[in-house]
Amino acid sequence: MSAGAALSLETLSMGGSPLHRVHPGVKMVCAFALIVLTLSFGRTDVAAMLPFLLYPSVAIGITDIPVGLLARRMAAALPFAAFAGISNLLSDHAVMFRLGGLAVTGGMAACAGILLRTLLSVSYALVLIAATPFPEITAQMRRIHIPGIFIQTLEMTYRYIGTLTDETRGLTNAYRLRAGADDAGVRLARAGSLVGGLFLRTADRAERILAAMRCRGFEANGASVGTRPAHASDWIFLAAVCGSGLLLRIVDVPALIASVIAGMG
Amino acid sequence: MHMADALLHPAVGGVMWAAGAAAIGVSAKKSAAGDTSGSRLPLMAVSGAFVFAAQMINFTIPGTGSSGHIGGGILLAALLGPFPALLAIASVLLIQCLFFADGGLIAYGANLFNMGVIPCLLAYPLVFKPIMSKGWTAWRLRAASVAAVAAGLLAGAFGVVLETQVSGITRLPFGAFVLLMMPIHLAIGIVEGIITAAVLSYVYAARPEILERAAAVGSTVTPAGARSLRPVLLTLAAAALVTGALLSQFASSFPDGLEWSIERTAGSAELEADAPAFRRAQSVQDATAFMPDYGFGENSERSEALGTASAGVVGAVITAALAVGAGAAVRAVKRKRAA
Repeated sequence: MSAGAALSLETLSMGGSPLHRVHPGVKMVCAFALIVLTLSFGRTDVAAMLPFLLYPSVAIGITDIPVGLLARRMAAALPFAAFAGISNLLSDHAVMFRLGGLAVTGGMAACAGILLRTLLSVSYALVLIAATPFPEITAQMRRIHIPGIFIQTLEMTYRYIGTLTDETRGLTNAYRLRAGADDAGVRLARAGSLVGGLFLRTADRAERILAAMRCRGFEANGASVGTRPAHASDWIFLAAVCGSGLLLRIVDVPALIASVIAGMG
Repeated sequence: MHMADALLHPAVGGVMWAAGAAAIGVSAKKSAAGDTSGSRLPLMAVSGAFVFAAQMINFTIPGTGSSGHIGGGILLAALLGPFPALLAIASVLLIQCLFFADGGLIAYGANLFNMGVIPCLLAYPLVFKPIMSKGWTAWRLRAASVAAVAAGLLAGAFGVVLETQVSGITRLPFGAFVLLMMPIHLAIGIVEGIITAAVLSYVYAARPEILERAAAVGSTVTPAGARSLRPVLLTLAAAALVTGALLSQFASSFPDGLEWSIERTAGSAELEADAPAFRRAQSVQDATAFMPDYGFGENSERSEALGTASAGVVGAVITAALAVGAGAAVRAVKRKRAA
């Protein structure tokens, strides 16, 4: 995990593609709706889920999100999903159907289903964050009355991750230079002074931040960034994404295509 | 221990969201109480970033060849107080979910419960504080840290097992899943507990007022220790029960909701289409559906099924190619226009 990845996503979110111009609240609702629709498929309904690849695929095309970035995010999400997928391979040997000489088991289908769900749900969230500046997301959270203190904590945490990550890197570099340690890690006996020292620096920084905020007229329940109202085009976008998602959830497109192929054969 | 969306049924995710939202609401109220100037906010926020950054430091565990890093929940609860700590952890988890694909949007409530609510609002007041209530000594701090972190991690891991099992996505037997998760998280908990104790000892030696202030925050917010947790637990339980009751209509299987809608619209739960294309689609779907209606469909017409199964696989490949190709086409058109 690196703060640089968050910064590259932040840069992407400042873009000017048609998807960037959609109302942030509408994009958030669409992302949630698509995740819920995707997760609502049965554990082995792999083929019926495939049409949902259309949404991240088109969105990535529109917004120019680097595919490598998506792959790296997928890699972060994979370990636990892969563990669950492989556990299905080992525990479910019932043969679903045979394809030539290959017996496709329930475990195989469930494993593929978990990996596809992971790919889709990670993509939806990534597209949302790559096409929506973070302050617009937190502004929408304020609109639905999520507690202000939580949103302010969230915004400041996000803002200071990069700073503290750099500070941590400096601390560990200094440790390695002095201790002559290799890259394997820091000795457990040094945990207190290293992490404790980092926290004390953090606490001092927090006091400086508070002083700076007060100098600029900060109030705990002060005004927040306003949001623009949704236009007709935003409502059309919402209807198109959610409506088509519902349709793809009900109609099994691969089966329809297969029926055409079977009819031709 | 971050759960991915792919492992959760939306209804389970919804219930955990309700529990997480209730915990955030209560914590926000308790954290803001007596802090009208917002002076606690910067420390809470920067502490979230601190946990994020400090997790980058890997400590070598002697004799094992492996490494570990700080946990977060118990450490922040001891440094900030339980409710501000929960808000800081909630912020970190949301940022990890949105920017790093560590956890998922639907799984956010479950992750918040397993990694935030359990350590901050349960393990800290029920394990850490009672042990430390007799005064600060180095050994007591080590015992409290290891016990609280290990208890929090074990309970969180058990939560992961329960939420995954209830969702029905994996067929791993409950007992085997528990046996896989518990020992490894006990070991991680002991290492994280030792690191937590070392950090707290260092901070206490250098700036005791930070820990004393955090303990005071906890005690003013929770004046009677465990007893004052009752409103929080009742709120969580009520939110989970109400949401669970509402969502249980959909929890049995989401298509029931769809079928209900279709029945209301079309007068029947099953849409009937008699065109040749639909009949062919139905035969292909019957053969290729891996688990029609979550049951192992015994196919009596195996030879016919083999041909239609092949067509089904080709159909799936074509669908995926069309979906991905649409995006590639959009990108190609964009680049052509830009050139």
